[in-house]
Amino acid sequence: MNASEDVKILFRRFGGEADTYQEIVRDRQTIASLSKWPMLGQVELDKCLMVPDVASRVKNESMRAMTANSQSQQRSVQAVRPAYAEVSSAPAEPLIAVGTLATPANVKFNTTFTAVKAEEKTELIQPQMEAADTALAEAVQIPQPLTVKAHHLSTAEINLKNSTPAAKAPQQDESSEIHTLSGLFGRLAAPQPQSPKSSALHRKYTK
Amino acid sequence: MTLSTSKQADTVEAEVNFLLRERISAQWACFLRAFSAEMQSQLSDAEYRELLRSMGTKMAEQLPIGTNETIEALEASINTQLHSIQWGYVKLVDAGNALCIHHHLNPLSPTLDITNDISGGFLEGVYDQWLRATGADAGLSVKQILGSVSQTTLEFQFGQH
Repeated sequence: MNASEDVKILFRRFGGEADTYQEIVRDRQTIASLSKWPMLGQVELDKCLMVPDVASRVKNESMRAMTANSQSQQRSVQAVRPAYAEVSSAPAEPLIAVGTLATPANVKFNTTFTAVKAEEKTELIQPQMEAADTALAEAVQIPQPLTVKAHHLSTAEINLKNSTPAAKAPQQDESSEIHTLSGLFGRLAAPQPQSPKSSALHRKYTK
Repeated sequence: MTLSTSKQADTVEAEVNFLLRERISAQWACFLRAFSAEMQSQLSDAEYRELLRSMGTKMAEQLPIGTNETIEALEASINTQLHSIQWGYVKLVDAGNALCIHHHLNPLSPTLDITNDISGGFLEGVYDQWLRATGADAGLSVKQILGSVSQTTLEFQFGQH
């Protein structure tokens, strides 16, 4: 039960007319507050009641970031190779979160304004909080900026990816056969260039 | 400086040869030298070498090296057998178009009092048999690189000849 309700009930109990009651304490508090904090006078309460369009703002921010990001990544991808431009759903830079947090300058002020009733506070904050939650939820559902794997590849990985399977095959064969006897025997048994004729020394020791 | 280094190398090689001769069983040393001298008088170098090659094949059959999947495993298996009969040790090197076989501290030359080029015939037969038993193609064979400078190391190549 707040102070004004308390007054109304008191009037009813004693048969008084509550409509003629004038609240002067609040006005005094307002005047005192304005004298203490002059900047409060610059606040336009009507505008505070307007819920900022967080969702559209977040969308705009994220879309702007996505466009800029994808443009720069497109350039990177073109520099690497289109065939390996694999799209992943990795999160982009935290621009969405920044946009959300930067929005409610008015919201913060409303929640601390002492002259607003508790119910009004709730009414004021609740839609804004819901709007912020909705915006966050929508922001999460927004297609993430396209993150291209090639953008994060090291030079060695790019070289590996750029090499064609045909070019890689001999390396694989070489590495797998170099120590195995079956590979060695197969390699040695393969047709090879003609070796020079036996030396005189060999002829001496052969029949 | 170079002369000094060369002298040192000669000294080391002479000492190694001395140890190799000293290691020959006293029970058989004289007999084997006499046997070898007689063979050399009856056979040409090529015939004697061929005879030793055939003997080497038979000795490898008595010393099986089992199944080996890799060159390293093959080298280890061969060295195990060589160690068991005190016949030095081997290093196998894949040279791409051939498998190089470096046999160190071969005792046969000092035992039979023959050159490395002749005693190498025996090891040719040994390695040829071992590699064939491991699964080498019939078209591949072991051939010694003749005229080796080192007195204690014999070099062979396994491949197409």
